[in-house]
Amino acid sequence: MILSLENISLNFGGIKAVDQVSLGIKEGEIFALIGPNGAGKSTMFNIISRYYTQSNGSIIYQNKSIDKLHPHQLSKIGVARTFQNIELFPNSTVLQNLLVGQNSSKTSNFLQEMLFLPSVRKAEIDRRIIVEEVIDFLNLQPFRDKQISALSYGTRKVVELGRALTMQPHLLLLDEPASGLSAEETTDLAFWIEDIKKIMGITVLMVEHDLNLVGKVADRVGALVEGNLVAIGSLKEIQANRKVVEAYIGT
Amino acid sequence: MRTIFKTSYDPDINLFKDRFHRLCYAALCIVLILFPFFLNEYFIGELTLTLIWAIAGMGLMILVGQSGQVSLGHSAFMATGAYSVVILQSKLGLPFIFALPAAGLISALLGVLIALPTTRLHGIYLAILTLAISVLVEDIIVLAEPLTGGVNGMFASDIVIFGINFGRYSNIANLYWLVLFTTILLVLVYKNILRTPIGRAFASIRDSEVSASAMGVNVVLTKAVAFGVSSFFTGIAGAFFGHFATAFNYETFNVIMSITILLMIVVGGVGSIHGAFFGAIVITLLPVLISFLRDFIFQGTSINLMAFPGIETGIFSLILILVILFEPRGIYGAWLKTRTYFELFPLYRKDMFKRQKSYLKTERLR
Repeated sequence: MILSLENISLNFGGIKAVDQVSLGIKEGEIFALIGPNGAGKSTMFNIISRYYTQSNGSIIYQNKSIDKLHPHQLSKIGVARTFQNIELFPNSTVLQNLLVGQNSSKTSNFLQEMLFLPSVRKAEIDRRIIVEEVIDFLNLQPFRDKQISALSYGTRKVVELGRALTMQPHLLLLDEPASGLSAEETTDLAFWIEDIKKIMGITVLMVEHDLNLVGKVADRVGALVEGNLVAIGSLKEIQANRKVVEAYIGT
Repeated sequence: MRTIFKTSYDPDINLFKDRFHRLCYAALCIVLILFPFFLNEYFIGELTLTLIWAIAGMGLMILVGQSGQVSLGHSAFMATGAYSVVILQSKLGLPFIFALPAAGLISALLGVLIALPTTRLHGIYLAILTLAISVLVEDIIVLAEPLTGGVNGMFASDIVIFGINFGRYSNIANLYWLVLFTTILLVLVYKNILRTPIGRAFASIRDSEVSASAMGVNVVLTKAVAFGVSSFFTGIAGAFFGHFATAFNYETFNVIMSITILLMIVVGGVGSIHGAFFGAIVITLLPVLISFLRDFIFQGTSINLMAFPGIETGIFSLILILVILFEPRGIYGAWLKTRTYFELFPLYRKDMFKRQKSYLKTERLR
């Protein structure tokens, strides 16, 4: 298990957004969380990436508890995430955005950087090489020097995925990667997610509404309903589960 | 339009994008160095003042343009720089070359101390807090009379480095060269910030704090560094300002000065080093121009505009309003548009620099 959640709960006032969820993500798998709107999927994500602190339970990542960490410390231990509503840096170029992903692995401090010592230049080139690999992987070459604000929604989604990849994570959290994408873009995305798992060896945890995409890439699927994890299994099993069907369609 | 064929990543990292670019800046440097040989003392003085304002402008630019934080209190850092450099020299007997960076560091320390508890504040709240601090610093200067001379203020003696005099009234050309040299150094530091991780961290907290922290940027620390670097620059500007004014007191560094620095970078163009310089030129040139026009009008029509005080502030405000309405990117933005127009002629489109509405932002995370 690369990540295990043990009895995670979180209340917002009287609402139980997440209720006693236990879940284990295996190394090298793609796990998809599905569920109706308001089921607590994004809340789960924000708990794992430490924006929210759970009221109960603990999160174990690579055999260590990460309950006490701040969001910015997660990148150091190899957890990267994307956001549902694109959170890129709109006034910078694609290249600059991708380079930010490498910030957490820098070894120089700001004084060395202000003097631009030779070691800083070397590190800068190393960072660029990693970024260029990601650009090649996601076919972002035409957009390298474009401002984010000049890109289409679909391309921004890809850049956001790329920015998470430049962090060279072990565990990648994708919050609705296909929302707002066209059918064609979603197909590309499915290939990329598979390659991320197979070629890069990154474990993926994703929240997704598009069940076609989930069916194509996910090894296991978990269904959240009103903060409860009601079923885990293959997409077929989940779709046959009575509780899940009830949650989506009603009784 | 020239295209550069890149065979390594170095051209993207280098300061200058090609030989022509490097030549332009070398020529600019040479012209600036040669100025004192052609101009009279009055103009050299004005030029020195422009450079001092430009340093202060770069200081605020790092904070506002690069890191997206607001400050209406940069006069406090100017004051810290000016008082520190004089006190360090007169009370501790430190030579100027050590007193200058030390004054910058003291300002930087003040900046960091202000930043650490205020990192949770955004926008207007941060602006009001920094405004309060600048008022507070004025009071502290009056209260700390044994050190600062209270309401009487201080006198800055001539700058002397290795026996060479850099006095405001005795050797203005020397002072000009000293300020020019410092300015060039600070521009290099600023440029280095922009091309390294620290600059990208600044930009990331400007654009989205949520995703900055997801990228591993420590938001609190980065804001503190931004404040520190910004107030270092401003402190250096303040130190030179004190020596340039030769005499100053708490009133020299009032709220109007903070607003002037802010006006400078908005008019010049927020987010670019050029903007700080354009802004500095505007605010030193404008009073000269106004007084010239005043004389001209007086001679032609015998209307004495001297009778209307505050006309200068009025014109400044008008310029600020016009810039915000019609050219939010300031003078530098206008220059970029003109340059692009000629580079792409006749393919320039009117909407090329139009900003697009951003898509939905992630809801505030607790």
